Amino acid sequence: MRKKVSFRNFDKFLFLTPILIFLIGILSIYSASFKSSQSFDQTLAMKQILWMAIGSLGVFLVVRVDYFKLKDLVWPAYFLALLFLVLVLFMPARLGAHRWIPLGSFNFQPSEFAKLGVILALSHFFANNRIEFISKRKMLIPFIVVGVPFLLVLKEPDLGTGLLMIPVFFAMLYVWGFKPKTIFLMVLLGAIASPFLFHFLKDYQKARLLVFINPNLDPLGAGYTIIQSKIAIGSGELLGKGFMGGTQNQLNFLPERHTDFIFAVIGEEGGFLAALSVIVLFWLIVKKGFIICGETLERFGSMLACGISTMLGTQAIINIGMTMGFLPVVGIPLPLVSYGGTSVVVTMLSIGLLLNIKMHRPLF
Amino acid sequence: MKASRLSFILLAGFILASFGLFRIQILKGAYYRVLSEKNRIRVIYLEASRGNILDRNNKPLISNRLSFNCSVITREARQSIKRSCKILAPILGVSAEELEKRFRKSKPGVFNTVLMAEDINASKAIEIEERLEDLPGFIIETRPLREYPNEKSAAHLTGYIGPITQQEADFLDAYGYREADWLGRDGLEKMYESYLRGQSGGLQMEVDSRGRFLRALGLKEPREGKDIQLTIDSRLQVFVQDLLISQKGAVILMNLGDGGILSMNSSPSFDPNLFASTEGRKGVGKYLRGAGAPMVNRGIRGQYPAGSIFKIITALAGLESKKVSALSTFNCPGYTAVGGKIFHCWRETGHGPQRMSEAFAHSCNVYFYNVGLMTGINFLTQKTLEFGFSKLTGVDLPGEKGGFVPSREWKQRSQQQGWYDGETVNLAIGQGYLQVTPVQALVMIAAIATDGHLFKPHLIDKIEGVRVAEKHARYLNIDAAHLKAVKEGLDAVVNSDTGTGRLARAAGVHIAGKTGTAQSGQDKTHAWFVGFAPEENPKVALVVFVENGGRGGVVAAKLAGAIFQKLKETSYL
Repeated sequence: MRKKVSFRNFDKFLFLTPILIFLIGILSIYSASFKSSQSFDQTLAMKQILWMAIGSLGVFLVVRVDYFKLKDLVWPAYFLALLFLVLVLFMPARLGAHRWIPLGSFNFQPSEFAKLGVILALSHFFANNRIEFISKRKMLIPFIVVGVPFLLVLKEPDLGTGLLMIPVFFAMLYVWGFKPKTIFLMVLLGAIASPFLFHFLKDYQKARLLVFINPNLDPLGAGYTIIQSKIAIGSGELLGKGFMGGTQNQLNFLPERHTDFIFAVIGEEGGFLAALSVIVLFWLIVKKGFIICGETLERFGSMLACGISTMLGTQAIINIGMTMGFLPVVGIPLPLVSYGGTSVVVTMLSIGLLLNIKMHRPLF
Repeated sequence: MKASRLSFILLAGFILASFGLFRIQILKGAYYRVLSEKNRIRVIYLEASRGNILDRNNKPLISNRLSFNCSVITREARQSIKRSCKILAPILGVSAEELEKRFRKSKPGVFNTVLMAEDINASKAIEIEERLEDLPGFIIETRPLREYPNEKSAAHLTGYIGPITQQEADFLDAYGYREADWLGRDGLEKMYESYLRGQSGGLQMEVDSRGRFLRALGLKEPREGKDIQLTIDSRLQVFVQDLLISQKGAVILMNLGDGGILSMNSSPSFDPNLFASTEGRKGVGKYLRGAGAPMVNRGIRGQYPAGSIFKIITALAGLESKKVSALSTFNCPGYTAVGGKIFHCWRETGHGPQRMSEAFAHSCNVYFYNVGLMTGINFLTQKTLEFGFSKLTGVDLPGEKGGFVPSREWKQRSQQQGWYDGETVNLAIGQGYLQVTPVQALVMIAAIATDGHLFKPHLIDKIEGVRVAEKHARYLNIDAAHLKAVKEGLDAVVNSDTGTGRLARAAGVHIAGKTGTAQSGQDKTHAWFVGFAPEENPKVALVVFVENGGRGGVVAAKLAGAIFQKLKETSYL
């Protein structure tokens, strides 16, 4: 029996948590990009709010349709994402990378879109094929589905987004029915192969990874960011230096502080309490997502919830870990917090899908 | 089941992150707080020096010297600023009140150090350095200061620099510019900004409570800009500027081997050194609003009637159109009537019967009126355009102007009127609507000298020792006999006993050229001279233009003669 569609099942909690994270983000972006000569409507924070408005609109559009019906759109969306990933390689490089497609005053970032496309495609495939009955040849399909966008994203180069696809893929394989042993074996193989793959990285990517392994290797160059970020977060102590009071932030010590290193601004100005709240809020979303994943018996919805939750969770953990110097600086944004239109919209659409699954899943 | 296992893995990740947060914010928070505390961390901006610009013999046209600034870190100095200013006043020779005023002017909330005294001499700097313990927040900063050793002589080439505006800083943010940066505003400083500009760095250091250096926390070393070598010879550049000292005008010399400019002068000039420092910029108003427009590079931005130097084009057009030959003779009674109007020769008594070489030598207007009329406006316009007039020559300086060449179509379009023969006659002697820049005139005479190579002149030779310039010339297919006829005329201008350009002669060099006296619409005419030498194997071409200078044969030719003499001495000829 299908349950009747109504907004009564709209999980307000799952909608408001991201909004709360976003609001913390807005304050931080405003503080991080503050210029005394700008009025508020010229600020990046204002732009970000506009993107959030579009994202929220997206949520309400997404939840109106039964997610089941979205199945037909999965492959078109996936191939569209691939097309964008190819197109972006022909775009002029900015800061040495082909990551953005300029559309007027807005820069579209196809790799963000591709993450969601890959999750959708995998969910569709895993839902339609049972691991017990699948042929060896067909088994290759999910690897190709992930592999092609993975390589395209690495080509941009956008190491962070590329690497992020791996845990998402593994989590979905696991839910599909892969034995943990098999997955560990794959991780092991990857670890053995990585020194060879390392060879293919760009110089700056190598430098970042090496600096992570030994931060004293280059304290003046690549290590600079990490040192500054750690000082910023650490000096926030329990209560922080107050809004717009972060010396590290306001004095331009922090590079990329309104994008990848925004968490350092939160840590510095909001202190341990604010930073911990962000972690807890992210955990609440992820937990909710996995509950949906576990409770949804319909396989497409369940897979989708797994993929989205893993994506949001790992992205947050990696970003936070890297600003504190626990993980290498691979350059991925903190969802909903870092400045960036595509990321905000895609994250909100993902949240919308989670909400949708909860509202529309068939209950047996 | 599986979902909750996965969620536990992620929970573990979040918990680890929280522990990490706890460790650096709570356990080690105090340490980091101290590091970021007001008095313990300083950032010194290390400005990269811009690249030098050298002449062809490696003599600097632009260089840098180290200057000392007395600056102050606002938040460290605020408490004891009154006392500090009192200590500093006698050393700097500025009143304590004035120093305090400078301090108050600083923008709050911005970390940039505030400049208290710019470019102080070394002994004062040492004196302050010794007393820094009594001057909390004060520092002596070193900063590369732009120097233009030739001062006014090469100002239009070098251009000048200026502080970035807020708008530009926002726009250029992605290219690494920041608010306190300076950038090229004109001339080569602007043209080659992206090469000249270095990458600024910064030093973040931990200091003790008395402001003494403890250790570096982060250093981004500044990277110097690239050096640029020019084709300019600063000996010539200075020599020519001295010649022009009391004149308005422009002189450009070009090496005919590769199209490299040997010197490019414009007068009146300005001192770019003044623009290079905050203090000096207070005195630049006299240039910006100055009479005679000293900031304008007349060589590339000034557009003037060409006068008789244009007769070179008229003659060639006549020959190429096959309507006249080198031996065609026209009688000059001192005037001619065209369309019911009388057009005079500059010599009222007339020149009598003239062949081409005689007409060149005497700059006989009536001869060229006739050539122009026989050639016709369409062909004349076409030939003029072929020689690059009305288009930019492409010399590597910003702001070049293109001048103007009239045509029958243009007149119909803009004035809805047919073209009159009287206007052809005017154009034939370089008057009327025609407007040319001195550098265009130079490119024209160079094309004659090299039998039809229309150069794209250039100033740059090497960047960081790597040759980037090469000969860049378009070949104009002109009949050799026609060129020879024109060159004979140009020879007669200088070397015949009755030539108008006799004053351009120089001992031991065979020179060819053409004088021009262009009506300026004011009392005094513009004086032109274009020429090249040696005539048999041309090595250098030049253009001399003197605004309201009088007669070309007197003023311009005389300057040209002196320059040819100098070229001989410096063994260019």
